[in-house]
Amino acid sequence: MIIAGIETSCDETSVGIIDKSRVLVNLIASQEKIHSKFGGIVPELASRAHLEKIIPLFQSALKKAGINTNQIDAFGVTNSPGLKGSLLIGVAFAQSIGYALKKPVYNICHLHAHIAACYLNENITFPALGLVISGGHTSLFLLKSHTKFISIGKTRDDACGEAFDKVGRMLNLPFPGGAYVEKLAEKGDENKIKIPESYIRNSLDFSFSGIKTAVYYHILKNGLNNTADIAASFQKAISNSILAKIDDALMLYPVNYFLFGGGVLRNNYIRNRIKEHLAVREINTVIPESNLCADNGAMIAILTKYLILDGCKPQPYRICVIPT
Amino acid sequence: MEKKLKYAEKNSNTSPEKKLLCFKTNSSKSTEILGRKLAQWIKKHKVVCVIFSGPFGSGKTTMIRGVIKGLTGINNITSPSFAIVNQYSKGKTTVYHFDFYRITSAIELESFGFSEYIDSGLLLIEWPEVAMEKIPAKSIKVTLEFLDLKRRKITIELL
Repeated sequence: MIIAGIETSCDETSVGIIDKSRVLVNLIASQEKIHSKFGGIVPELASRAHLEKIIPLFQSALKKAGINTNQIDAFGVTNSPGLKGSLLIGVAFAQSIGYALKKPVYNICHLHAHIAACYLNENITFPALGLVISGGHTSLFLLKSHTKFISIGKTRDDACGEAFDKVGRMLNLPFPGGAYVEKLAEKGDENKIKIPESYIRNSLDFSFSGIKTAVYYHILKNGLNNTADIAASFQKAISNSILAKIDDALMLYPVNYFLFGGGVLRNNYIRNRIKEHLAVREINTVIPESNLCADNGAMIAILTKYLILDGCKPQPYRICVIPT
Repeated sequence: MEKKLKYAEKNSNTSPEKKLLCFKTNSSKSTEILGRKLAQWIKKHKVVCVIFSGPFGSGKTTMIRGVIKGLTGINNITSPSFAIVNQYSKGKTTVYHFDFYRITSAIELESFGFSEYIDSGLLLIEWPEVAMEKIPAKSIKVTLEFLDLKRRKITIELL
């Protein structure tokens, strides 16, 4: 069973193709620099950019996977959540090609798909817990099966990756801040500056805005000295807040598997802290490899596969997006 | 807290030509309540756009949360920094919560059809500085400043 996944919910245009549980190809356009082919700067944010990238990207994905369009059995496409204009491009593309080839098209929730990237590990037992931490989202799910997600917590203000990016800007680091904050933090002392961790009582909701404010206020008061210590202390505060909620979730839902997804997990410090933390508690931790943590098409295809296996019906050929 | 705000409103230094209102809030909760009060004012005066300026963590999203709560009753309002715009609707009221944080120039606004949002609902815009020329006339400007970690000075003026 060959499935193509299309992802255009935010900045990245991505096409992934899987064959059963093997990822044949997973192309992400902001990395592939497809827009240079057009000899001009395409605004990174524009849905126009998706429009220009999606067809050449799909074609090169087919080529790299060594298949033709007729071999694809089904399509999956992100239709929520995201920027309306961007989602529309992906959905319009997938629905049209599905209609033309008479192949089923499944609408996919981007957040669920981030967790589905973990399904390449086939030992997972349910119920399980899933946490998505990315630039735009922080969401905690209880999973009853591969395809049954119950939302049990989310951020009340900023997304986790957003806090990283904003602190990056405060420290005058280039965009996107996340990777640079991590690099800078390696040289710093994480216990040097006391940053209050945010914790919402009696809830599985997250809050990162207070940590961001504390960092800004520290810089306002003390100036931009010891940036490495600030980065390290900030990273520690964020990780501790995440780990505290992981514990709360496990207390309410004692499961054997904890699944993770989202761009923030490309941060090795956070990855390792989570792994160590859950290893002590004898919980199986599944974190996808780095390029499956970013916004990508393969994760969309993986979730589509499980929807098909669970006997879900595809969407009628119609364009429907749910931005928020 | 409400009383305090009422007192602040009464005693705020309003100058008729600039129509400047000045408030002080002492917690994120009171910033949110000020947002709710602003919501009533927005409704009464049929405001089309409010821009929120202030540094990181000054309470822009917090105050907007109050405005949206006041107008629609919707509770879970999160930062739109990455999505650029979040939409909240209830009945005939539609509120667009924008964040220009990731936008680098006014031209980029058109790439997602910003002008189509104007007049289709209330616009609440964070980090508007990069695209001031695109902000509709007769908007309201809210400026948030740090007094200390918890307290903020908030000024509201007509553009």
